[in-house]
This record gives sequence, C-alpha cells and structure tokens, in this order.
Amino acid sequence: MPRNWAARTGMTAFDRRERSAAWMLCAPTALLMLALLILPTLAVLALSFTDAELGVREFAFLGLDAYRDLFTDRAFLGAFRNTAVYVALVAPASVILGLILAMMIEAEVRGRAFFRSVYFLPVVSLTVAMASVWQYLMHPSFGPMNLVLKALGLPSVNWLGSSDNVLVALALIGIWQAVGFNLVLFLAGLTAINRDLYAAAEMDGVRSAWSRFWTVTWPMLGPTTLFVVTITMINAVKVFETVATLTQGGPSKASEVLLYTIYKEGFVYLHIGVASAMAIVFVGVLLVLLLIQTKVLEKQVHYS
Amino acid sequence: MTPALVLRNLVKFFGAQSILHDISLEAAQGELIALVGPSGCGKSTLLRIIAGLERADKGSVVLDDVDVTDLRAADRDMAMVFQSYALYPHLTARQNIALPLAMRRLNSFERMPLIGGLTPATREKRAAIMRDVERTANALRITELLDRKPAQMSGGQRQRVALGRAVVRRPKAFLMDEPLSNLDAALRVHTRAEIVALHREAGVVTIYVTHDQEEALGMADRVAVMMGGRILQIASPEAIYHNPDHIDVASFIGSPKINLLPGHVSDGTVIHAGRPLKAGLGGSDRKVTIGIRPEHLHLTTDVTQHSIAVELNRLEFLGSEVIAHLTDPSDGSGLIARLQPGEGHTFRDHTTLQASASTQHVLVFESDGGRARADDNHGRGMAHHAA
Repeated sequence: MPRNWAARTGMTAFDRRERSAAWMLCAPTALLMLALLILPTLAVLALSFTDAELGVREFAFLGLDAYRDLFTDRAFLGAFRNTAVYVALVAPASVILGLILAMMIEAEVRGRAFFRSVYFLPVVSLTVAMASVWQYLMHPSFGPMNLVLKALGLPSVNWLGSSDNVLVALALIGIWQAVGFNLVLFLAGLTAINRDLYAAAEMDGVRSAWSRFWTVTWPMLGPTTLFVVTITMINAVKVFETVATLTQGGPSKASEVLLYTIYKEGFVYLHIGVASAMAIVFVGVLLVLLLIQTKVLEKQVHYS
Repeated sequence: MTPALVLRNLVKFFGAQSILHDISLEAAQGELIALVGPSGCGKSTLLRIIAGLERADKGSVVLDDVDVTDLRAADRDMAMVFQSYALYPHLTARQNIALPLAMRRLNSFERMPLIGGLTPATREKRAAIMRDVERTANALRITELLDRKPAQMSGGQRQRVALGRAVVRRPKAFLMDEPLSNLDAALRVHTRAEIVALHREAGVVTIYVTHDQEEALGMADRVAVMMGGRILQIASPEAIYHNPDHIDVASFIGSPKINLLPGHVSDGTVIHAGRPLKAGLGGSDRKVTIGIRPEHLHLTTDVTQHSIAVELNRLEFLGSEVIAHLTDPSDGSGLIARLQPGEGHTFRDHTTLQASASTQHVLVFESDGGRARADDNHGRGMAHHAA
C-alpha cells in the first residue's frame, strides 16, 4: 500500500522534491539576507564589546563595560536626549497636522489631487538640496522667517545658530518633511471608511462634526494611525541629513543626535568599537518601536 | 386617519442627470411599503431623501403632519437599517445598540467615558439606557451577543444587532435599505418574517427597499414598483401581480417571468397568430403586447378556436411544480408554462401542443407600455377554460 509506505518513510519522493524546490527558491534571498544583514549585524554586535579602532591592529575585549562606558558618556547621553526631544516634537505634530490636513482635503472634492501632490513634494524632494533652502529661510538676518517675525513685531530668532532652539528649528524641518507622507497615509485611511457608517451615525443622532469624528473617523482610522505613528517615530529617530548639512551637531553639541554621533564616532574618529555599541543601542530603540506596533497596540486597533 | 408619511412631488438630479421624477406617496400609520425595482431605478436615493441623508431638489417629506424636508436626518426621528449593517466595528453589540439612545438622552458632558458617570442623575440615565438595550436584545434574542464586537459575529447576527440599534429608540419610521441582501437564502426567508413581526410590534411606517420582487410581495402591505426614477404602480402585492398597470411592472414582478407575445387589436379583439385571445377592447385597431403569466398558460392536445399552437421543448420537473419550456412557432420566441406536478406527463418533447388562457388572465399592453383594459362583461372567454 502506497499509503503505508509513505507513512513508514515519512516522506514521499514528491514531498522530497517539493522540499528541495522550496529551499532552492528561498536560497537567493536567504543568502543575501545572511551576507548583507545578519552577518554584519552580528559583526557589529561583536565589535561593540571591544575598543576597536580603525587602523589599530590590536584591540581589547571590554564586554559589558563597553556599554557601561557608553551610558556614562555625556556626549552619547546628550545625543540620546536630543533625539528623544526631536522625536517628541516631530512625531505628534506631524501626525496631528497630517490628520487635520487629510480631513480638510477629504472634505473638499475639488483640488484633492493637487493638494495631495503639493503636500507630498517634501517627501520626494532631496533633503540635502532642500537644506540650503532652509538655511536661507532660517538665516538670522535676511531669512524670510525672521522677516515675518519682524513684520509681526516679534523678536527675531537665531534659528539654527542658538543652542536653545536649534532642535526646534530642526524639528520644524522634520515636521515639514513628515506631514506630506502622513497626510497621504491618512487620506488612504479616510477613503477606506465605509460611508454607511457616517450615514448610520447621522441617523443615530450624531450631530456635531466633533462627535462624528470621535464616533466614526477616529476609531476607524485606528490601524492607519498606529502605522503612521510608528513609521513617523522611526523616521524621526533616524534623523541625520538635516543635522549633517545644517548644524553638524552644533552649536555646542545642542543638535547632536544618535545617528550623527554614531557617524562621527565611526567615520570621523574611527572608534569602531564605540560606534558599534551606539549602533546596537540605536537598533534596540528601533526594535522596541516596532515591537510596540506589532504586539501591544495591534490588539486594540484591529477589529477582526 | 391622516397618513403617517407623505412624499410630495420629489425631484432629484445628480448633475444634469435626473434620478427621481416627481415621486409622490402616502403611507398610513403602521404600513409596510416595499420600494422594489432594478438597480439604478432610484429607490435607494428615494430612501435616503426620506431619511434626510440626501436633499431633494424639489418636493417635500411630511412625517406625522410635520414637514421635515428641511430637517437634517438626525432631527427626523427615523431609524435606518443598511445593507452593509453599518455597525461601529470598535464597539460591542451592547454599545452599538446603546449609541442612538446615548446620543439623544445624554448631553456631550454626560457621554464622556469616566467623568460623565459621576452624578447620580447621569448614572440613572445610563442605567435606563442599559435596561432598554437589554429589553431590545431580549426581543431579538441576541442577549448572548451583547458583549461581542461585530467582527466576532456572523452576517445574520450582525443584521439582528443592526435591527436592534434601529428599534431600540422607538422611532417614528423605519427605513430599510436592502437589509437582507448580504444574507444567505435560508436566513433571508427566516429574517423576512422577523422584520415583519418587528414592524407590526412597533406599529410605525416602514419603507423597505429591495431589488427582490419576492421579498417585496411577501413582506409588504403595499408594493411600489420603481423604474427609471418613477413609481410605475403602487398597490397591494395581489394587485401588483394580477393587475399590473404597466408592462414593466408585469415583467419585473413574477418568477418565471410573464410571457409576452406580440398581437394586434382588430375590431376590439386581441389577436395573436391568427387566434382571438380576448375581446372587448376599445379603441382603434393597433399593435399591442399580450402578457400571460406562466401559471395561467394551459396546455392541451385539443385544438380550440382560442388556443395557439406551441412546440414543447422540454418539461422541467421541480417537485412542487413542472415547468414547460415552449416555442411559439409564429415568431420562434420562447414561452414558459407552469403546470401542476401531476400534469403534463403524457406530453412528449418536440411535439405540438395547444396553449390557452382564460380571458381575465390575458393582459394587454399598449405600445407605450400602459395597460389596455377590456370591458370584461363583453369578453368572450375560452370555451374550455373560462374561470
């Protein structure tokens, strides 16, 4: 009986062929992931426990002391704090602004495609190129932003040159970049809401736009909002180009952020060990954010 | 008694396209009216205008002697059931059913999740809402579903919750937009009876939109057949079926469809293929269309003066009835006759039979689709099958 034979060997010839085909189909991706992602990450993890420097032959194994040093390093802690402040400014503002703009565009039938494109432009424009535009806009003496402040009778601000508000200035640019992306995601989420729900809410006596928002729009946007919040936070944590082009971490390290500090340690000072430890912490932060998205909040916002 | 719901000369355009032409209708207190018609006939738009979800370009809607034309839907005190159920997916069945009550009985401060429940008066109001929800759930036998969210329910259960949300606040009218279309056939028949029972219990006007003529006939006190933005006929299910005013009503209502034969009037007699089928029609000689329902087409082997020759293609045995598929040799078109189960077993496929119908079952339509009614006192019935 073929059946018994299959049960004895556990696998038919067909099963074996199918299994080897599966491995062969996976192999290119698996090998590339191993070579480009997993092995380098493991190498960085290994290097993070050392005091390796580029060009220096011998290095010492520090173990967890490497991380203890890191978390007592004031420069690193400063970068950590600055990044957190930057994320705390950019994420809520760009999410809320994106939602408000998306609802305004959604409510108006005319010009929807036009406004969507206009707000999406910052997403596709080159940050490094746009940086010079922002440098001009924020110029302390002849920048249009200060000219507007002056016209309103307000004191002018040294946007990028003062350690007090350089993070705010960078956050403004970050918000400008993120709003368009968030808006497009929210627009897609809004379009997906069943129109009957608004009709049902109206029949149920939901009168004001405010209660309509809290009864239908906000709950129905739950999955979109979660996605937008995490993607915005992850992108904000990865802020680099504006810092590298506009402030180089200055003035007096007031705009040192994680990725810029890692870059300087690794590629300017060639402290590979320290940079690796910082990179591991950085990846850890991103993983935590991803974990929050997939595990904790997903249960509350998906309805199936 | 004054009618509970009155529609006066409603007109609606979408851009330049006319969707509703001059719709008028009066519904009595406690009446269930079905709006039935093919898709795109304007029935859903009409329902949304009655609800206040859409504005008519002309005309008015009067509910219980109050002109509600300029009131928004939230202020009209009607409830609606949607084909898509339109339950709030993030709320449990209990919260879904409670929402219309909370919106009407609590102010925005009292509705707030935590601080809203602080005063004893508000707590009492909330408890009353919950009692009403429980009572409705009991009536609909969905008590065990109350703590589930819509995603955890079957289509039939969701529809019951949606019905619960509509009946819980005792509105002045129920509006139903194809509420059974997403259910499977067995459940649909069962739920029909339940909706009629709910409607009777509430005792208010129900406007029921459907594309299913069987649903309309089976549930409604009166059926309004809509086509191309007009109500062609509004009458009891029996009258709509047996006495249609228009050829489109006759062919939309009834399954299998009514047989339509070309004919002409000569000297007041309707003639098809040389045979007189009905007499007593007034007016000049002209072309007409003859309609005979499948169950009224009688098949024999005997030739009579009023019978027409047809060829039998096939008999279809369906248990409670037998469907005979026929060809009219005069123009090659197909005809259908519905026979009793015992009938027809002597007929052989591909033989010629004689088909006839009694005079009152021969419906005559003018070329514009309107019904040509005979003065039946003068009618000559078919000798062997006069009713």
